[in-house]
Amino acid sequence: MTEEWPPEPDAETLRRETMGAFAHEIRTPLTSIRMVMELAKRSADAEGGMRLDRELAEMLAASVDDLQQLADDLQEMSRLERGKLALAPGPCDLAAAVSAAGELLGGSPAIEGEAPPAVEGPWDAGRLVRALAGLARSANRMGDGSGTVRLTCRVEPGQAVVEFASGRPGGEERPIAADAGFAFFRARQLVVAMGGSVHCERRDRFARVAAVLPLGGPGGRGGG
Amino acid sequence: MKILLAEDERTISRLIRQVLTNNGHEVTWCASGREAEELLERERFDLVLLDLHLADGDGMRVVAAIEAASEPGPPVVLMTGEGVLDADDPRTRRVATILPKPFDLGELERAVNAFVA
Repeated sequence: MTEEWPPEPDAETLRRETMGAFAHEIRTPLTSIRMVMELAKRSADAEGGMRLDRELAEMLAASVDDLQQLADDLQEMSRLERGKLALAPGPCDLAAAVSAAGELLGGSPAIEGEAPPAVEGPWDAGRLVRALAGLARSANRMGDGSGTVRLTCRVEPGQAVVEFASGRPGGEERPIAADAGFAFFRARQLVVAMGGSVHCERRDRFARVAAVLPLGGPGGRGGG
Repeated sequence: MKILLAEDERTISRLIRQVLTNNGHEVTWCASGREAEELLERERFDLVLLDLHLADGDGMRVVAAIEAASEPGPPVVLMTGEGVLDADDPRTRRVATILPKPFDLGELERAVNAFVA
């Protein structure tokens, strides 16, 4: 990349922040589950029988799903790190991957910006989609939280760069830390496993996160 | 009591509102620090239940806004997904109570009831 980014944290810092983000994130569904179960218990104590209304049951199910997803993601990260998980290299169309990431996010956050250039790379399509969705979510979370991130894509010699930004540039530089969310660290690992890299700049109410994806390798061809 | 709840996680905020409303409190909910700051400028609250990590950034910005106001602001119960904060964490001195997630209803109610006049 030709532009300057803050230096990447070292491996140990990344590991610590990944675990911190994971621990932080499982507390949210755990809190919901604890509260729903206690509401159900109170209801049972008050009326002499177990009652869990549909809304509470759906909240409980959603929280369990969140925990399941976090556990699956952590396991995938562990298997990737140990080389026990084979990627399914492309060719993968960048525009299709960005579009699918937007669908996966369901508008939370919404992605605005130019259509990506016509380019294919040797990327694992399914994992690239999840990685891009995670990076967009992290940019929104570390930026202004407005629910919209700006997308810019460009092709450089041998690589494609996909960048999500949130908020207005300016202010003091801030660490990534737990605010990035577990999705950031998982996305970063997926991109690295595909031979790419992730860069992040965070300031007051502003963040931009970029995935740099290699165009070379088997099955990959650049354009645009 | 009139309580401002700033929490961006919908399920948790829905449950907290249900519990506190059932207990006779009036709860105003918002999902961002910016909304919380606006509400605090416009209305008086007896207590703020504040998530440390809001959708638009660090919940401590809201604490800073309360501290910067000309009149003394409401006490803040800080809900945090970081678990139990270190004793020397400066954030512990700036809020009335820390409520680490995952908390249960009893812990929530005790934290709130401590401020009932």
